[in-house]
Amino acid sequence: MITNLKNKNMDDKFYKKGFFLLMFICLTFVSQAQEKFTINGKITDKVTGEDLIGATIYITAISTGTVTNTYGFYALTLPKGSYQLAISYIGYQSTTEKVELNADKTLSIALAPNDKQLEEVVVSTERRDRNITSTEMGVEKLSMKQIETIPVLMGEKDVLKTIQLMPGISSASEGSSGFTVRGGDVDQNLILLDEAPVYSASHLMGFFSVFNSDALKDVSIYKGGIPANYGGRASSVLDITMRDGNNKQFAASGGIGLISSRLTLEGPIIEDKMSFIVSGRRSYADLMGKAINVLDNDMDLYFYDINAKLNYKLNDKNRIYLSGYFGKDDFGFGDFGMNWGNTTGTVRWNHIFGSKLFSNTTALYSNYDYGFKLGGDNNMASGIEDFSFKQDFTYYMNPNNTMKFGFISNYHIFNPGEFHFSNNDSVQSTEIVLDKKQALESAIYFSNNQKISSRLSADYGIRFSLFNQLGQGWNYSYNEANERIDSTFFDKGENIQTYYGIEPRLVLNYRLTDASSLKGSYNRMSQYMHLLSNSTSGQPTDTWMPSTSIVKPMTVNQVSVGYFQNFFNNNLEFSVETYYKDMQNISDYENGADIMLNADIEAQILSGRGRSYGAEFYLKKKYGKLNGWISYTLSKTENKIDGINNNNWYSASYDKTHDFSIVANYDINKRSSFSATWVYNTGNAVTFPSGKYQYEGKTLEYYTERNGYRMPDYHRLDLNYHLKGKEHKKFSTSWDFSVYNAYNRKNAYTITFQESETNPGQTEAVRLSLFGIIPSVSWNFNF
Amino acid sequence: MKQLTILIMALSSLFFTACEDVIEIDLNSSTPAVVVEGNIVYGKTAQLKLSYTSNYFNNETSEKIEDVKVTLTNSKGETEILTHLGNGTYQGKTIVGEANTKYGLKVELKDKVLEGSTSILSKIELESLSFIPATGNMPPRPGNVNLNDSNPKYQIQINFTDDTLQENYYLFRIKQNNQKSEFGDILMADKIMPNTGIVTFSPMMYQFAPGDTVDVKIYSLDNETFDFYNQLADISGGGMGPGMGGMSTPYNPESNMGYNVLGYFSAWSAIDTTFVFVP
Repeated sequence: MITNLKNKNMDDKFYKKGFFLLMFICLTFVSQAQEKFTINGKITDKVTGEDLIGATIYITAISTGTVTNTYGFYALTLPKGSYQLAISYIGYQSTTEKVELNADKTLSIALAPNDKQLEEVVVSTERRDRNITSTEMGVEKLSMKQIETIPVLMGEKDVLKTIQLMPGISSASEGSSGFTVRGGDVDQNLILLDEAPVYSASHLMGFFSVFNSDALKDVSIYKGGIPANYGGRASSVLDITMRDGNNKQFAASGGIGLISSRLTLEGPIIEDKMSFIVSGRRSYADLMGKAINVLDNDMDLYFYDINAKLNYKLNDKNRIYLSGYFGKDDFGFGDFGMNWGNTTGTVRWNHIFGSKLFSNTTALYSNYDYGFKLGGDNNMASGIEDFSFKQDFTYYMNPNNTMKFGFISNYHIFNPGEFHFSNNDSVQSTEIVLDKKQALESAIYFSNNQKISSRLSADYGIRFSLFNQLGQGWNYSYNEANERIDSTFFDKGENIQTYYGIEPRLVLNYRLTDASSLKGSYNRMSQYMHLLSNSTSGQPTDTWMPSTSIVKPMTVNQVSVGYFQNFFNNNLEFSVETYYKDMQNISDYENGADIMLNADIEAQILSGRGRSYGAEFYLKKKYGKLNGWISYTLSKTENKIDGINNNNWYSASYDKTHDFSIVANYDINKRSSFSATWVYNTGNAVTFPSGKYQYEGKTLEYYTERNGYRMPDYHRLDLNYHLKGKEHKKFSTSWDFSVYNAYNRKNAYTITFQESETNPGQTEAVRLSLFGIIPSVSWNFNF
Repeated sequence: MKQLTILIMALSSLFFTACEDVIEIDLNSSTPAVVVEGNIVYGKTAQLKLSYTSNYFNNETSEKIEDVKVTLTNSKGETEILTHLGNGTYQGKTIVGEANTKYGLKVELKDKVLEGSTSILSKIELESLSFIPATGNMPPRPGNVNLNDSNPKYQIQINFTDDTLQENYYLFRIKQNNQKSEFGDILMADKIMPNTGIVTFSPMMYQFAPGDTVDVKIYSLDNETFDFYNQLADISGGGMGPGMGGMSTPYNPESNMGYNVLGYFSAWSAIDTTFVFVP
């Protein structure tokens, strides 16, 4: 009896608790008792018909609003009544629409670009106080306009170089498009182009990114507080959206630069229904180099890429998008050389169920491969291929709750490497083909963006990820000497290894005043793919491999707290964010590991822990003649891997204690502007010798600590002068004159220790500086 | 076209911006570590050099370790004390390198004792050496003096015996006209060569012309020694050129003589031949 009583008490408590929990969850549903209707639609550009991402729809009278999603779609559910909708988007003329809401309605609005934009250059398309009000944290958004004016290496506008000027994001090495985010290695960044993963984002050995800015619409990078709809990489998500193409009139734009030329064609196929965009780029440094006898005629050194997109609006509820990217690099001499490239393809179908449920169904293809030509018929190749299917829903339940849920299933095929060698006389031929590896990576997620009170809002969610390494293939186990001791063969489709991850995500925003807020976030990420790389900067020869029974998935837990404050009527934004990140199962190699064509590379991978913590300061002036930002990051990133550095903690090679950027743009007049960036950072952590010794007649270096030294501090000033040509009715041109490394700082790309040529027997440190002062010019046109 | 002229002028300045210069770097001075360079070769007695590491920018010769007791043993139960010849060099007299034998080395320093072992596997024998027309065209490079002419090029083809009953590990050192190759040592193990009793090795990166002096050394190593030389090649940047994956973070190749010891006690049987190429 006593037991029963206890049980009864517990049951009562449980029901009471359950009741309150239910009450809490239902709080936002209570008002549903009133009669409500939904208004939805798209916000587009009046001139080009492009969807506007992040446009604001606001009803001042009831202090309620929403923003458009990636497809320009919005939905608002409100009690029956009469409302005045204010629609705004920075750089466009705001408009108001009166709506009598007595039934579900569709209201699509086209905003006209603001002519004043030319006078008041804005470096953002966001709502003025969005940084304070949104539940986004650790997110940087870039407009293409911003990217346009920032001076970069050899005048090539570059998304990946520009994001490196943001706090918490730093360059992997000089001039490189490889980047690290909050202490995560270069392989921990998920790079999406129209939702398709891009595995190698670099052209010309990493000096240029594969993204042609002319074809892009929107760029967002998530450093922390990563929403539940993203997953698969441990540190960050770079989400890039391609433009849809002008659906009002035919347009062409392009430019001639020092390294490459580009051309974009776009226009309607059926006006307001179907449009296309094709954008291409080809470098010609090789052609020019040969012309001025700097490069040998047998030398190949070029890249090209093509972005193409087609969209078709079937009706107000259905729209289909086809987009693709194809890029290739070729670098070589005669019969020898290497080439690499990405291909992606995306098919998407947007459908609106009822008035509140937005659906996006996606089928994706992504391929990355690289190959070596080794003379004659000899060659080597490696790569990765993805086929995926994705379903995303956004449910605009009411103005206080927007839910996202969906699933993704991604089938990876890894080609770790194949080598074909044959002699002229055919007596000898060798073929080394490593077994392909297959994996199915799946996830389901749910998240809700909830306005809890007038001051408190939250974005919370959970992602469940599942990873299956599949046959056909062998699974090996190894002894301490890395010799195979056991092997099992798995048939096609048979499960070799399963991993799963439960990944909670949370961002809380407490609005302190109209101009300030306090935010906190937590996210857990799982990564089931690993990049085999010997370089720190991300090179095309890096090879991807899946998690296996030996190489465990990486998991990262990150907490972050930030204070956001705007000054002068939101004209000046300030934020400070601090973070701590714990990384489990990060990997490195045993000394002397052969990465290429090694079927047993798994046995040579060491795994351990990493940690990173830091503070990011950001001051941004978005409006006025003088605009730009200052960012400063103070951070520390360390790893501890058994088998390296006597099992002690050591600095990650990309650890930079101080990382400082200033970006300034000054509009001189309607036709010209001047911009400058200055960057300063602590040199990368490196391993230098602390002694030397003789072995077999050679002088060898003696190392006492991994990454115990620092490269010299890095700093550089870049300048750009932008000049618009005279206005023609249907034609406009502009020039960009830029100077990279304006004061010719000799930043060290590498430091090597070698015997002095002038004083034999004496060892000296030799610095290689890659880029001195580099002037460049580009000419752009638009009609 | 005006635009094009401006572009070409600006482009011509691009290719000359990289530069190298000598800079001052402060390197920590480290506590000297022991360096062992010991070796026993098939048919010969053991040799050993003992020294300490020195400061990196120090030009003086490193300190040698003299008059310590060094004992060599083998798996047949034989033992000998190596004689100190002076200047940190020690020499064996009685134990001669033999096939399929394991050797142990013990060095008794004042503050610690170092011990390690190594093996000579089966003896390898040269079967034939020939030249075949070269596969593909190698880019011209310094030291490859005959490559810029249009005469036919050849690559060497070496055949030697290989024990099919064991895992074999080889190191090849090929010199052309007495110049070391920029490719460094070539290391190959059975796992990437067919273990059929005869190894045919024909490296395409060496291209020869008639009249070239060719020096071929092939060492048969045990697994651990192979790993050591593999690490040595790795930190020397040998084997791979730029763009072939780059060099890993530098480290000390792992010695078989104990923790925080540099160098190695190695053993091998070898093929060593020098000749002038006459077609």
